[in-house]
Amino acid sequence: MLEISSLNVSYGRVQVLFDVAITVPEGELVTVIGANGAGKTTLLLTVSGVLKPQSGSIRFEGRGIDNLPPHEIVKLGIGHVPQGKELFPAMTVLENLEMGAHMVRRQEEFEERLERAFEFFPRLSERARQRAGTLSGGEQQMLAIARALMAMPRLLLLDEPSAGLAPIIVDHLAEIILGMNDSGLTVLLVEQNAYLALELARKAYVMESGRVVESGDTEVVMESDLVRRAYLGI
Amino acid sequence: MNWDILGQQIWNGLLNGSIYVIFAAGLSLVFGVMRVINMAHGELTMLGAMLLFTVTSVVGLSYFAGAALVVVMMALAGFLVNRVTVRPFLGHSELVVILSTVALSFILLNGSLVVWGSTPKGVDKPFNEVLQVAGVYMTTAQILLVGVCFTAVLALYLVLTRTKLGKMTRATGQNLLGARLIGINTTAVYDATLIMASGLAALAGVLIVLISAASPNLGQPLLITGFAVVIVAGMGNVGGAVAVGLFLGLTEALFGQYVSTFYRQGYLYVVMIIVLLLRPQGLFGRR
Repeated sequence: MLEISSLNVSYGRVQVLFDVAITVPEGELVTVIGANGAGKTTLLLTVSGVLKPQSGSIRFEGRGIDNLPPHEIVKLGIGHVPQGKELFPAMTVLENLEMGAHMVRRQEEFEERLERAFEFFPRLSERARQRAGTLSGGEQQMLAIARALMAMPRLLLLDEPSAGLAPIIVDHLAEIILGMNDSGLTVLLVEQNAYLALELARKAYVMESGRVVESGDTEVVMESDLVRRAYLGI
Repeated sequence: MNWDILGQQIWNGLLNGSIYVIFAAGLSLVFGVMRVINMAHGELTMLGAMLLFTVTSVVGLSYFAGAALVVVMMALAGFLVNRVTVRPFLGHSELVVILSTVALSFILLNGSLVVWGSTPKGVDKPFNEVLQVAGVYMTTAQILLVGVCFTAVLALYLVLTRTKLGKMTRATGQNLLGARLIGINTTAVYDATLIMASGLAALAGVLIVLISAASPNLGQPLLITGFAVVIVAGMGNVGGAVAVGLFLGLTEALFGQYVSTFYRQGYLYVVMIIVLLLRPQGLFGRR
């Protein structure tokens, strides 16, 4: 569904991604793990069109998307839940969700999507009239995911959803992510929390200093010396 | 206490305050959504007034037809303001954008001096009967000005809070990256923001001629006043700019009447400095 090949990305004169190749098959949950600064966020921002690659290609369902602006990429069916959540803090939960579905013209269609988002995150329906900036960290993460789902993406890019959350909330989110994947959503999950990522995903990539250094089925990747030493501490 | 004089000054303050409100609302909108300080906002108002003079006195349109035409034209010109002086420089430092809008303001000012000369031009008012209401003298043209200002501000409020475009505009102002990642076309939002702001600036211009003459030099002092209003309110807070514009217009008139005519011009800036010392983010601003 998503094919990234020989991708090179720079911020100004500093190159951040080197020759990155990642494939996300339809229906799968693929993870990219790596330490802070490995280039995971850069990778996702490039897929979304916020950053432009120097060279390489990004294909979504066979179509090259590396030259499209972000709003065209969302329209094609790629949702992105960014690391900082990037909510609209002075707007209510409901307005944030409305913005996620800004491309929907029919009111009934919007309400169907809203209902579906509230099914995944019942907590948000209790908080519908509250300003997003006043939510707890876990609720903000739920809202960020729900907002991206409102566009009905077929591929969801998740950037460190567990960051800064209590373990019990991370477990809850993990269940929801698995549920979304079971219902047919393809997921590319970027995580520093290797335990969580390897638990959820069938296929994993390991990044270090802007390069993919290991990839394969999660069981295999988990057994590799590199991952055991660096991420699992075994 | 002479109540008639007090009433008259309140009315005069309301007139100036209405102009401040509509002027500062546009200035604040651009900053709030785009984080751009539009130094050309005053000249857009000036251009509104001068173009109205031309389409009424030279071309011969009525005040209302001319005003509508000028506001629509200037709103569309807002698109060019964005594409030529703002958007190309957005990736650079904020200073570069400020300087490019300063450049635009000089081009508009000097161009206008060449076209219209520096002599103030009177514009025929649609009606101008003098009324006396509770001891206060007011003209029908002044009532029109106040009425249109408040209608425009109400319309702006409804657009920003009730329409999808308005909500997308606020969302973009609150979080640009967030807006881009959910597929909002932020380039189009920026175009729309400068279209709205330029339309509001020109509307201020076609209303100013109801209480004073049109002159190429009216933009600069208005810009400085507009900044005082926007800074006291808190940069980018449109609702705050409306409240503060009205308040400063009223109290400025009262200050001129009861404290000092001579220092009246300094009043706004003294208030601005005091507010900045006590509350650097402005009265309604968030840190």
